Amino acid sequence: MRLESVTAELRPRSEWESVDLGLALVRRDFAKLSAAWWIGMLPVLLIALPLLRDHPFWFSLLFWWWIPVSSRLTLFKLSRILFGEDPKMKHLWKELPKAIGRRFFFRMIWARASPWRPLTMPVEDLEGLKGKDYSARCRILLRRGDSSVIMLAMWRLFLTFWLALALFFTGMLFLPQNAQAEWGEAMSLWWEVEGLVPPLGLSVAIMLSLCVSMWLVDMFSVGAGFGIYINHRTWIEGWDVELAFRRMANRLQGMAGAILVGVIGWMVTPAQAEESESKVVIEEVLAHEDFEIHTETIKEPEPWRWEWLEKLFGGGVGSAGGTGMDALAALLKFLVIGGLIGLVAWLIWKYRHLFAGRGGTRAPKAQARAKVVMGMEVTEESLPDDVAVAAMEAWRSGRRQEAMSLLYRGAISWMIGKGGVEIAESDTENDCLGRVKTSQVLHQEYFGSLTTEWIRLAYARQIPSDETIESLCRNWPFRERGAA
Amino acid sequence: MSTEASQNRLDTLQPIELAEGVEVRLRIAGPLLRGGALGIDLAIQWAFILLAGFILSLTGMVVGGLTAVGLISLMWFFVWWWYPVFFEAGPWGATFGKKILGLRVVQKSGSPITFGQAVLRNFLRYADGMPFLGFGVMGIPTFGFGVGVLVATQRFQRLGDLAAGTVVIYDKVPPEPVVPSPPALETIAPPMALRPEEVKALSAFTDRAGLWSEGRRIEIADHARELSGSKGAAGVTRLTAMARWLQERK
Repeated sequence: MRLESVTAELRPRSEWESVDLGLALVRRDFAKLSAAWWIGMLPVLLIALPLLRDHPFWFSLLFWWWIPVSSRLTLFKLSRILFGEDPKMKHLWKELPKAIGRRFFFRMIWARASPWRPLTMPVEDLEGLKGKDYSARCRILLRRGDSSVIMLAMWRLFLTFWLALALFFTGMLFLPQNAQAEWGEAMSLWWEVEGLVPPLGLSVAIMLSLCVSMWLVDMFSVGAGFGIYINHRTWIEGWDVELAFRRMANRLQGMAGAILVGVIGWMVTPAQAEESESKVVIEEVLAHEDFEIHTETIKEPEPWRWEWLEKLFGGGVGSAGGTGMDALAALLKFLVIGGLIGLVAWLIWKYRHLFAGRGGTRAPKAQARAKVVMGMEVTEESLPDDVAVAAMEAWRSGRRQEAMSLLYRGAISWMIGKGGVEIAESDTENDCLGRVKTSQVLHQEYFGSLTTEWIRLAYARQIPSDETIESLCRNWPFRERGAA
Repeated sequence: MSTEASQNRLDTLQPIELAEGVEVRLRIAGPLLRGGALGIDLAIQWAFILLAGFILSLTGMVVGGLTAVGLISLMWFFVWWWYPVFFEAGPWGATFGKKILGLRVVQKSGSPITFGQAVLRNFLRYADGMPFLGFGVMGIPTFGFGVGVLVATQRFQRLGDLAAGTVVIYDKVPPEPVVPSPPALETIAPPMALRPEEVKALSAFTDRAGLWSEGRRIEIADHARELSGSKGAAGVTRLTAMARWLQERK
C-alpha cells in the first residue's frame, strides 16, 4: 500500500460522506469493476446455465449465495485502483480461486447473511486477518459506530427488491400485449391457486431482474463498505496526516536541493542574464493554470423569503442549527396555521349567502357583434341579397349542404344584426337557439325548425325533403335587411 | 487550496470557484441519505393528506359532497406538488425530511436556490420517478431513473437537479469525536516557513493524536523528521510544540 499514489482524496469524513466516496469510486471505474464482478460469478453461470435452466428459482438462489466471491474480486480490483495500481485480467483470474477458498466456511456459510459484510470483508481480504485478530480488528474499526453499516445493510435489502421490481416492470412495458396479459393473469393467480406453475418466461424474467439488481446493489455496496472502511482507518490511523507529512518531507527535501542549485547558478551566471531569466520564469509561472482567470456567471437569487412565515415560525426556522425537535415543532405550527386557514375558508363558504346579492345585477357589457359563428361567416356582406332565392337555386342544382348553410347563416346574421340577439363567436347551435328563445325576438319558431333541420344535415347527414326546403324558403321571414 | 498533487483525485467535496479566485467546497450529499429524506417527506405528505382528507370529508356533510371532493383534490395537489417547492425555496432550503437529516438544496455556486429552480427540480421529480410500477404512468414511481442518474453524475444530481442546476449538500454534520494529544510543554518556532496545508496537517496531528496508538503516533511523526529534526518520541514532542507555536501565533 503506497499512500502517495492514492487516487482519491483521503480526509476524515462523516459516515455518510464516506459512503458517498465509496459510491463515487465505483462509479469512476464502473466498467472495470463490473468485469471483475462477473468474473467472480462465472463459475455459477457455467454450472447453472446448463443444469438449472428450467429452475429459475434455484438459479437465483445459487446466484445470491455466490455473491461474496464476486464482491471479493470487486474489492480486490477497487482497493488496488484506489492505491494507484490497475490489476490486469490475469491477476483477477489468479485471484479467483483465492476468492472462493479464503475462509470458505466462515464467509459463505456461517456469516453469509452478516449485515457487516461490506465493512468486514476488507479486513479479511486486504489485511489477511483470521480468527481472534480478525474479530479484534473488526471491533476496533467498529468503535466509531456501526450505524451507517447497519443502515447500508437495510438499504441493500430494500434496494435489491425494489430495483428488481422496477426492472421487471420496465421490461414488461416492452412485451407484446397478449404476453403482457398472460403474465398479468399468471401473477394475479399466483397467490390464489396452490401449486400453480407460472409460465417459464415469466419466472426467467423475474429471475433476470433479480440477478441484475443483485449485481448492481452488491457492487455499489462493496464500494460503500470500502468507503466506510477507509474512513474509519483514516480516523484511527491518521492516514491524511501521514500523507500530508510525506508531501511536506518531499517538498522540504526538494527545497534543500533547489537552494543548492540556485546558489551555484547565481555564482556562475552574470546578474543581467539572471534578470531576463527571471522574466521567463515569471511568464512561465503566470502561464500555469492556477493563474488562469475562470469566469462563470451565476444567477444570484432574488431574496425570495417568506417574511411572514419566518416571523410566524420565529427563530426555529431561520436558525441553521435547528434540530429534529425544532422541525417537529414547526410542523405542528404549520398544521395549526393550515387549520386556521381552513377554518376561515370554511366560514366564508358557510356564510357565502352574505356575499351574494351584493352589487346587484350588472348590465351586460355591450359586445362587439360576432362575425364568425361556428366557423361560418355571418356578416351581411358575406351573404347574397336574397338569401331564400339563392338557397333555392343551390338546392335545385344539388348543392344541398350549401343551400342549408345559406339559410342558417342568413338566419344567424339577421338575429345578430336585426334581432339584436347577443351571439358569441364561441356559441354552438344549441347555444344560439337558447339565446334566441330567451330573447324577445320575432320568428322564434321558424329559427327553431331551421336549426333542427340544419343540425340533422350537418351532424347526422339526414337530407331534408324538398318540401321542407321549399316551405323554409317560401316562409323565409328575414327579408328585411340591415341594422335598424 | 489544493496542492498540485491533489489534482485528478476523487473527492466527495466539490470545489466551486467564486469571484476573485475564492474557492469554496460543497459537501455534496449522496443517494442514501437523500433517499431517507424522501422517505420522511413521503410519510409526512401522506399523513397530512390522509388526516386533512378525513377532516375535509367530515366537513363534506355540511358543505356538500362535491365541494368536499373538490377541496380534497386541491389539498392533495398543493401538498403533493407544492410542499417541496415552498420549503426548498423558503429560508430552510430544505423539506422537513432534509431538514431532519441535515441536508439542504443549494445552487451549484452554493447560494440559496430561487423559486423557479425549486419549481423546476421538484416538478421534474415525475421524470425521476420513472419507471412506474403497474401499468402506465399512474403506477407507483420507483425512482429508478433518478437513482441511476444520481449515481452516474459527479455531483450526485438527479434529472431535476441537472435541469435546475442545483445540488444537495450536507448542511449540518454531527461533530466527530476528537481526542487531542497531551499538551505541549514548550513552544518551538518551525525552522522554515510552512505552507497552509502543512500548518493544517500539524494542527490535525495534535488534535487527533489521542485517537492513535503511541506507535502509530511515532510512525506518523517520523515522516515529518525533516521538519522536527528528530525521530521517535522526541519527534512527536517537537511537532506538538511547533503546532502550539503556530496556534498561539494566530
